[in-house]
Amino acid sequence: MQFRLADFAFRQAELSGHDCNELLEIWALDKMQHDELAPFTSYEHMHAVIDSTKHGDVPWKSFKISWAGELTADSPTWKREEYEICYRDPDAIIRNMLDNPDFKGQFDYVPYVELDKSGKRRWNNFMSGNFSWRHCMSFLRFRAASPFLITN
Amino acid sequence: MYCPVIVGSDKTTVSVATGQVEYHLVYFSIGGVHNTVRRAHRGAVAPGAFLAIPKCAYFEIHLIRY
Repeated sequence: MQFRLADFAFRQAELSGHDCNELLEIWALDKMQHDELAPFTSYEHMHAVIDSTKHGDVPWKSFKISWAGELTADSPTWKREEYEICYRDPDAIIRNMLDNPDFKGQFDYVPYVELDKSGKRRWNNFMSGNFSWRHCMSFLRFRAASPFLITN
Repeated sequence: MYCPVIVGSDKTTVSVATGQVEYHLVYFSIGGVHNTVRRAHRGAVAPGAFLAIPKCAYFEIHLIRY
């Protein structure tokens, strides 16, 4: 309910703070009869909830890089310039993807081998390949653990 | 859970009003999502960095080599 209201008020109707508060107040009055609360107490509350939503864009950051070695009079121009690199926290990007509920039912947690009726290997997704399988197995060997751990 | 991270880079040409700009971006994906999802523009591939590509004229490359 919070999501649908926020989506409608903020994104679709683009309600002003005043209009949104008015709507929430009517909502609250109605809910009060059953001793319940409206989805949000005010538009500030709604904005705070929208801002706290983790799913979404990871902020961009940047740093500057330049040649640190020696410079001579005939050094090429690329050694003299400063370059800006924009990036996002890879950990946050991957975390966001893993958090994405849209992938439900279309996600493999462990490598697998798929065989058809005649016993022929069927290659399909990334996790069905030899690369994932072997990598996962070598990883487990280093950890000296039993392969059953991957059912986690 | 085992989660492979796929990182790639490719030259991407972006057309803007002021002319064509080329970016070399690094993108991230994870191995768990099914191929169909990864190809379907559903957030399984995300840009993670824009690389700086130093440009230099041919005669400069020549100088560096010899």
